[in-house]
Amino acid sequence: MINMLQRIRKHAALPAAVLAVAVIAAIFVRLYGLKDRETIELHHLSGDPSVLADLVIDGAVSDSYHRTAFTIENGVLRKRTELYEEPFYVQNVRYSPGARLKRDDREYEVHPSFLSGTDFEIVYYEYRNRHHVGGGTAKIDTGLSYASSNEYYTFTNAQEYGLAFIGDRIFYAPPTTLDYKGTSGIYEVTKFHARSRLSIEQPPEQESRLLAELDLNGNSAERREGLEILGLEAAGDKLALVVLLDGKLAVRGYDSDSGQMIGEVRLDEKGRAPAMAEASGGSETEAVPSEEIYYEGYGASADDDIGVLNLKFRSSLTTNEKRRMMVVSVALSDDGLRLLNKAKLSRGDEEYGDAQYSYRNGMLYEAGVVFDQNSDQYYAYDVLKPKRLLIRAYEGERLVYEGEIRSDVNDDSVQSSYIHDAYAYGLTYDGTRFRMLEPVRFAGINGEEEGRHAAADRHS
Amino acid sequence: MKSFYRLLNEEFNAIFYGLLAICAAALFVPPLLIAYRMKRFMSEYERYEQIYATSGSVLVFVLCLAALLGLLLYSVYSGYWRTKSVYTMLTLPVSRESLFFGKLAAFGIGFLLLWLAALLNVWLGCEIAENRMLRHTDGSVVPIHNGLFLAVIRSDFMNLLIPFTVKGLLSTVSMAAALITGVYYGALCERSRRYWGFVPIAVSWWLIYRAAVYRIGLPEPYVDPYNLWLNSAILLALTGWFAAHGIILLKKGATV
Repeated sequence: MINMLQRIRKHAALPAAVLAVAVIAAIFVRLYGLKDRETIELHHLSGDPSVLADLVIDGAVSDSYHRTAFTIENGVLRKRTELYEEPFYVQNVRYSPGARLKRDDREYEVHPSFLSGTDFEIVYYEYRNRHHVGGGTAKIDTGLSYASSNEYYTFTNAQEYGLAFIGDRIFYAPPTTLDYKGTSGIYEVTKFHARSRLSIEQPPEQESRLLAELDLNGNSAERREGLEILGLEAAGDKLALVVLLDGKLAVRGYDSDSGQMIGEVRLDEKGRAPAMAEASGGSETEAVPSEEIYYEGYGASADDDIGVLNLKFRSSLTTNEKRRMMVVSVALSDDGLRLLNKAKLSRGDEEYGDAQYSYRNGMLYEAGVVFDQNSDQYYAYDVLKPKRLLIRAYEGERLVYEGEIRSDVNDDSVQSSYIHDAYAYGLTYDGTRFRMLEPVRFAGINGEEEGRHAAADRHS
Repeated sequence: MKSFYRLLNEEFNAIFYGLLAICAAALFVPPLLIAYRMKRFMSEYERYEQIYATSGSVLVFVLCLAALLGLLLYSVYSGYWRTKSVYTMLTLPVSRESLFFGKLAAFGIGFLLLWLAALLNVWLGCEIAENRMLRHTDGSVVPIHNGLFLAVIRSDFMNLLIPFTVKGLLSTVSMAAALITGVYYGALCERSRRYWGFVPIAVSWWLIYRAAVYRIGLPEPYVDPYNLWLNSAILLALTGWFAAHGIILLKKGATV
């Protein structure tokens, strides 16, 4: 026995090495294989799932370490988990007013310029692999004059609402109120320069060009007449200016090359005036007016492949039990603008961030993250409340389909739901260890295929 | 080749029991610590990687690694001190390369076994933690789905131990190689009184420290860019230097 043991030990080194390497490799393979175990499943809740035919829905669940992307094509879900080469710091990808607007590797800010409140400066910060690698400033000279006696400048929306992107081109229209007169416009940024925003030095050359002029001389804040600009959006290669015309919502389309106005859609729905926003202290829950008006902070999602812009406006008649909104879909083409759909929707869900919309095949599709209504748990941070990703389809204003994309995102916040005194416990929401749902994108099957090939070509 | 095989087994046998003790500690102590850690208030709601890190299991691995390096030093110096067996070894009709690589390979295998033990304890600990979570809450709290995988990619320590990317794996392997070869080389330098040899060793330790700190720190919002590929390449080059010069030192006798 002892002899045998000694014989084994005499030749133990190599088998031990082989065994160790083999088992280590096996464990690596097994653990790595677990990446495909993340839950992402499509559940049909109500209605007819056939509305998902001819549709591609793209989305992802991600944190600082990995990302699980999914694609629903013709109602069939496929998923793929990718591990990042190095973990990197992520922030919320959803835009909220006041924060920088993220697009690809860049983050944008817009300010009134240092010397004049009626000129503007667009600043971008560029990040590569999350490291700040540069930035620049472009000055927009307008013909605006401020006609109000206010001691401060008024705006309808955060300045970043005025930014729109078509490919690499950047457009801007200042979101001005009726307090402005003179001429404004849709401007295209032609050049960025690296310089401090807080300096009086003039840019060495022109940094923007006027694409389309907007005449604001008829503005009168007292009579609520004239042109209020809520923001600028893009769909396909067309620009859409979201405005209030004499207090009523309208969308104007512009060609992004010639600057020609191609059409206008008037919605005959009242928008909120800044004075009203001020009276309610900017809050949207107090002082509910009796008539239905729509708030200026809209949400936009564009179907670039078919040139359709979907705008969501929240209604003033929203209560905590019933959230009301209006989604309008406008088609922009060389032939002009066409109102495809106007749906006034209401529901009981509390939304997290903005929902994404798409209008296709005569159907309005919605992908939105809502807080789980069934949960009465206390959560240390609102963003950690249990969330559900819902896909809905409306025909007119009627809900014809509802489905849920289930994932493991809520697992990450289990701890925070049981620890009430998060601060004392040292529990922080750092945004890197909690998976989040990225905004969902819709595409048509044919258009998406083409788009995908184009994207693949660009990457290779 | 045959002489190398014999030397390797000889070296491996010499550290067999020490290695067994280290690996047993690395394998069985962390699960015990984790089981004990699960008694802490509210631990059922914590993530596994947090439980693992705060149970002291990381410290156990570090101590085991230190013990392995200690064993390596002991194995080198015991040849000089008591039996003076190094003089016998040096007169053996085998190449000095075989002598050098025999010991190095034995400790390489030792490190692999320690690594394996650590991998197994991560796995075992997860089973224990999730089992306790379910039992303590009567199933009302379900552990994070796919929690082991998430813990492995999210934990700083497990990221060092179980990197899933080529970059990470190369970094981990080069750190280990430089550490073990460096300690062996350091002993040979000391025996030959070539104290300047400690300079490249210090450089390698600095690089190991930098790589570890960088990888543990990620993801950080304002982390300075650091080239891990370059770090790994330099560490491997230093490992090559340690081996090459170590063999030269042995050829010169590595004796005072």
